[in-house]
Amino acid sequence: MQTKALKCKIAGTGAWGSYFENWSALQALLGGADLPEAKLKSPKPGIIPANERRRAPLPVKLAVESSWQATQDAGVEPNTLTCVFVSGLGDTDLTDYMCKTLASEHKELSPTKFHNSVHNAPAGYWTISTGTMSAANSVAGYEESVSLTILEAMIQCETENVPMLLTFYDAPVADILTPVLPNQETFAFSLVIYPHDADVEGKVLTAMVNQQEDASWPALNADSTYLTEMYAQNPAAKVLCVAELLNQPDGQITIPLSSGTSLTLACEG
Amino acid sequence: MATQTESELKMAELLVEALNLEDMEAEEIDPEDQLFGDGLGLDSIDALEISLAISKEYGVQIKAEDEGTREAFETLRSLTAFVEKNK
Repeated sequence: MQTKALKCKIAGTGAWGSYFENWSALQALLGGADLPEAKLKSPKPGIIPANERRRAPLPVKLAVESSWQATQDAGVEPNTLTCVFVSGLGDTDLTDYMCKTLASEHKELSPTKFHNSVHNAPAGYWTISTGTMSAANSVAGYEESVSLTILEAMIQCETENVPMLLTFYDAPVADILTPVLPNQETFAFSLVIYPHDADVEGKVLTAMVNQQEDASWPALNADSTYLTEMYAQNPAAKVLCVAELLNQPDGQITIPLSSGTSLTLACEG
Repeated sequence: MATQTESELKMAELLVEALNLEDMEAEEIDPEDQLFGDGLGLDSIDALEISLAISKEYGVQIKAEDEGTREAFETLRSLTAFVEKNK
């Protein structure tokens, strides 16, 4: 199968996790810096109005904080971007709450928790907080969440000729689900991309879909147990291999896209 | 600020937890302040959450159409008195 290469330019990056508050702190960890002593619990994104923020669960706060950082890094008004949000796990705390409540004697659900339980809740908080009228897609693809989202956003960027916001986020899994979904790490990462010929500063990313059985995720270069375990268990953190690619002058990786396809990403500039 | 009774403090703790009030301790809620609008700044979604939490904690149902519901929701004091009377 021969496909056309998609190209875009990366103009901004955002990141948030238990041991990094932004992209430069994550870059330091990827480069081998020691973990800070203090573990962070949750970001507090100021762009969400206070009355809404107190209702926002962790995945929402992660996604909005990281998205905000990427738009600031790109120097772009957040309400001008079409968005693709992705989580491989969704909000398992709320899934657990809903199941427990509906199986109990008192079946009335909290309206706030019910409202927050939909997969596009983070995209909704983002679009309401920024006042954007642009489209916002919410993707779920478990282990292939990252590759599907990059492909989706690059297709939209090229065919619609618009800048895009991509946000990857996954929160620790509720205790009861850890036998099947072991992730206990908090992770969010965002990119602002432009059409490759846009007049903005940034590295050029090229993507190509290949017919390939059983592609596997490449090992990280970083020598860090924290990053390696998160990369293995947190579906959104699979984007760390792309973060490493951006962190180097030139390079190429191939990542799984579906059972019969893979996605090759190359970065220049 | 007016002094909270023991049952008002318990109700204030329920509000702080059910509504996830940021940066606010139960002891700081003035029992005579308006809960909605200018006072604590709660809104209609909070009213639903409070009704649900009270129903689970005290077994008291608060119905939107009932007389007395508006008065019950005025302050921490009136809400506590309403629940004490109806439980």
